[in-house]
Amino acid sequence: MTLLVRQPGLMTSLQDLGRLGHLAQGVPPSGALDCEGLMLANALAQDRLTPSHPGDTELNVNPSLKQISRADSRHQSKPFNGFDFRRPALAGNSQDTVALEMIGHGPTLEVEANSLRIALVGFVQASLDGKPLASWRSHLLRKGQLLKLGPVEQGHVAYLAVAGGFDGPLVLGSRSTYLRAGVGLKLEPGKKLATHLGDAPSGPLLQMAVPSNWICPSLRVVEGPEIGMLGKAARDDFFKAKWRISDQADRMGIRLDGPRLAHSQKSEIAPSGLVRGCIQVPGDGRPILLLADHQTTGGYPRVACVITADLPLAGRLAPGSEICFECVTWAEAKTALADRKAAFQALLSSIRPIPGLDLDALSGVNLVSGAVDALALDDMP
Amino acid sequence: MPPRFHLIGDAALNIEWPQGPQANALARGLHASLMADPPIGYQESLPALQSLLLRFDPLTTDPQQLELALTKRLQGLASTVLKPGRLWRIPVCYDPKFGLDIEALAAAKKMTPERLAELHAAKTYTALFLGFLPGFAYLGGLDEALTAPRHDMPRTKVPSGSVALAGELTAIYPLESPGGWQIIGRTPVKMFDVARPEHSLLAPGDEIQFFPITLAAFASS
Repeated sequence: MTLLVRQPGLMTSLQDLGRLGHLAQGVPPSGALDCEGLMLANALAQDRLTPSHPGDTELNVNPSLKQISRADSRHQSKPFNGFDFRRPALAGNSQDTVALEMIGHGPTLEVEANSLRIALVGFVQASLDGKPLASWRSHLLRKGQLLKLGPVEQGHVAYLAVAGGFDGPLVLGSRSTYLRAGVGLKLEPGKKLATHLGDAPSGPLLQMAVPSNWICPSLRVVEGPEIGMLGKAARDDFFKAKWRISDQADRMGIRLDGPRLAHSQKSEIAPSGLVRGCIQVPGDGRPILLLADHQTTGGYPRVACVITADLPLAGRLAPGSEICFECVTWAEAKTALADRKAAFQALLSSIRPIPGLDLDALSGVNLVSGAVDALALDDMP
Repeated sequence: MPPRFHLIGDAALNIEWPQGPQANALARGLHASLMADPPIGYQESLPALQSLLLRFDPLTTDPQQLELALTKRLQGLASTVLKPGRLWRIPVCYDPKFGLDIEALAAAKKMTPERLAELHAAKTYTALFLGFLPGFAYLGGLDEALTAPRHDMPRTKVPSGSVALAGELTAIYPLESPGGWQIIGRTPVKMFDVARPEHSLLAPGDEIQFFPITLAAFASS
């Protein structure tokens, strides 16, 4: 029922959609940096297609899976995070089932469970017993096999979901790791990642279309309450400049390199509330973009905030890449959110069973990765 | 004075009051009112020193509608007295072994460390808001004689339970973390514990008194 950690990777942790609603206690939301990646991985890991799929019928559902769905539905009344398309109890995995988030470079894991169905999402290099393993689909793994996750190329973050989900302590309605408060497992060689299931479910393996616009060099923002604390030139620079993602990047936030932004007078404010996506400019003039593990209050001017629609893109920013900020109105942000949700639904709808009797996958050997590209779906955004 | 409303992104609203003794009480009052009777689209709110941040669902409500509802609610709130929170009595060992800055700070203030501890333990504090870390409460009500600057170079590791002060505020570090405040003691009480049903000991509006304990008492607690 476990995956043995041989190598932890660069920044690997268990994440679900986060623990929303506890900012007043000083507790950050945590959760997946890229909620779309997490939800897609869970959708691929389950042992049946989503109910909305035409012609889809209920496959034989393992009773133990149903139980897990119920257990996980305890926190179904969690608040809005902008990308919460949770559906009634899918077989095994709901969209907020906890999965492994891999930042920069993934871990090396040994399968200790009898068999395991996993799904990979993101541009991550992977191999199983030395043979390449394709992303954007599910795979069947057998006891004793060695799963090596390598560099994450485009998008910097990737997800590994397992059918039935990983086990982990439920803290404030979430199994997301937040190591600063001692919540969750720190991956180290020899540690074990527990899964709910000891055997892979019997349904068909699934694959999806490879997304074409996974990363984007422009993030849309709404101006923040303290944008006026920047001088006129700094304000122009903020929107004109190309910002480079520095190496000071983790799940808390990202430092941006570019022109130094000068404050017109003060560079501190009374401690005020923060949300994911906020961009603060401290006294040194280097902006900080806050991500999932952000601190809940801060004393630096909040000059802008990334809109909900673009938060998954903010989670995929790789050190060394460049971005710029585009100012939008609230109404434009709302339209963008609706568009983003529609595009995400299209991605979900691209999920199909892998055609034919997948003998290769069933015997635990790698499937020809070309099968994914062969989908060539026309309902892609 | 009416508060200032400003969007934070597309899914949060910042409500800020002009600086003054009422600002924090209004933020806490509005937070309590919102939790008791949430308006449409409300997700959560976070009171801060003189502002409140409100997260909302942009597909259910809009900022204009919220601003209207909040303005109306604040008119009703102004006349009501804020209910006091719980009163906590928290033991603190002010020994220099834990109070890493107490001797230097006392010397700078031309008083003994004992006197500094006495002044710190004499007041009743109010939890103005939580932030920075899970369970980290900013406590107002510090004796004027104890106001102190932050360290220019923050410590990379402040031990969990450290009792500290900076500016006109005092606080307890709930977890080991970096920090720049002056450390004057340590409490054995766990300020944030996921094993408790209510993880954070303190909530905004709670009142806090400190009482000194010896090293021996700390060790046996």
